[in-house]
Amino acid sequence: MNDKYATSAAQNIAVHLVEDDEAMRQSVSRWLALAGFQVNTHSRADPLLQQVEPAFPGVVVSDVRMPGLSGLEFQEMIYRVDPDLPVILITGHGDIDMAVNAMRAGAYDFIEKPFDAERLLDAVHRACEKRSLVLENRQLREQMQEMGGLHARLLGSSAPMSRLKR
Amino acid sequence: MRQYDGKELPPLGLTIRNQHGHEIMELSGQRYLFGKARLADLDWSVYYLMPYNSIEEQLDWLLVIMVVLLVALVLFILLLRERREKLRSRREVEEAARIRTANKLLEDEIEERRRTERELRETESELVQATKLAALGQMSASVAHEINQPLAAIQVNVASARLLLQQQRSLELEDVLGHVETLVARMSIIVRELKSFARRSDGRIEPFDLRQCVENALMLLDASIRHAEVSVQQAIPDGLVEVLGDQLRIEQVLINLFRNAIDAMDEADQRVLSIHVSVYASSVGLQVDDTGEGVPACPKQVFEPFFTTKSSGEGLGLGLSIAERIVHGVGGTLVAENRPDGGARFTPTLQRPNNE
Repeated sequence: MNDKYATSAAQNIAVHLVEDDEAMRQSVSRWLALAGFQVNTHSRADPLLQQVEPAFPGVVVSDVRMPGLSGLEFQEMIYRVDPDLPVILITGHGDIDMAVNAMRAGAYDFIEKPFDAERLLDAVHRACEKRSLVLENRQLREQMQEMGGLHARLLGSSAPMSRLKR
Repeated sequence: MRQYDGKELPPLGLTIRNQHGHEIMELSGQRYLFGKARLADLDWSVYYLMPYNSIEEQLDWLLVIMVVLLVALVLFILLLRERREKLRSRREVEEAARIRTANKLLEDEIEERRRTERELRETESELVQATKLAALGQMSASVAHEINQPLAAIQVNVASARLLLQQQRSLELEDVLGHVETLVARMSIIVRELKSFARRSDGRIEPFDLRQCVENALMLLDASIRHAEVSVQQAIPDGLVEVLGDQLRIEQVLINLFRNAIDAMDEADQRVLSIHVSVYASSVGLQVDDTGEGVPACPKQVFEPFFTTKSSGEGLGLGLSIAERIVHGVGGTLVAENRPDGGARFTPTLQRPNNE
């Protein structure tokens, strides 16, 4: 199980869990940690919002109904900072409308409580992979821009190409 | 030359009598009405004789005509009277018919009123039922949330436990199981609360301790009070505070009043629910004060069914109406007013048992 999800791509991506219910926070963080993820827990969304920036190396799993900033508001704010930062919303009383609106607003996934633990794990795993790829992609693009000119025209990363670029 | 010249003229043997102011002349057995006129310029006197018989005859006729007329008149009067009688009797019949109709209408109206009253009673009990259902609806929404949280946590914990079991990490497994136990206990409390709420009331009016009732109501609303960050202040005299009523129903009254207070303070900066019990000679008053917006200018309005200031979906507006009904049902009163320093005050007053 651990091996299944602790893939190299998602290794450096942290899962930020936002949940006001302590029991829920504890059980989900333990489950994700057991699955090999690096988990940070938060009881409110507001403080975490400060940390969010385009290069944020993590994904967010958030409850919807919370004191202060709600999960939906939090997700929209994150989307404005970085649309490619996956936010998985969990709610105890979601309806179809809420789910559709959240997905339209750019949520990565919408999970209704109570949920199958594996389902959450799967979503978190995909989200981490996506985040990892997005960040890698951005990094490569930046490198490419830095190198400019000739390097931009030499495509691929095969051994001869890499040697040529060097 | 004279007509009767040389003839002996014997007296005619006439006599003149005065009868009823008329001069009557009798001549050879015949009676004549006797009239006399003087023609001055000729120096003549004209005597006019009219046979009395014909006058009598005429008089007889006159009499007959008069009798006939009299009879006709009498008949006419009788006819008139009869007609009037008939008219009157017809009117009486009509009157009687009208009274009968009126009676029928009255009876119908009475029946209608009885039916309306019956329907009202039924509607009232339906209202009680509807309020119960509405309260249950609200409650089940919050209960669904309250139960969903531990349920979801348990589900995740079970997945973790299975993983730990596979990896034979028994210490951590123990920890997870302990966690599950706590969550199960949390759910049992909720279920116990629900069961006490759902318990049917037999409607008996008997003495009970108001303090216990207040505590039960506050306990049932604990989650809402904490969630709404409302502070509760209580001032209940020491010792047993006995009132008359059906404890479960009065508990529902208090729940409705407290819930109303909590909801009313939703947007207030200061959220204080004060419960103040005053014991009088024959009754006990329980003031429920909040620091919300207060009640409308006509406070009685809040007891009207379906009166609500909440947005749709947050309540049917039956809570206070049902509270008033229940309090009235046990011989108490429920007054709504605004406090001098802002916020609303609801005061149910209940009777004390009079065996002391």
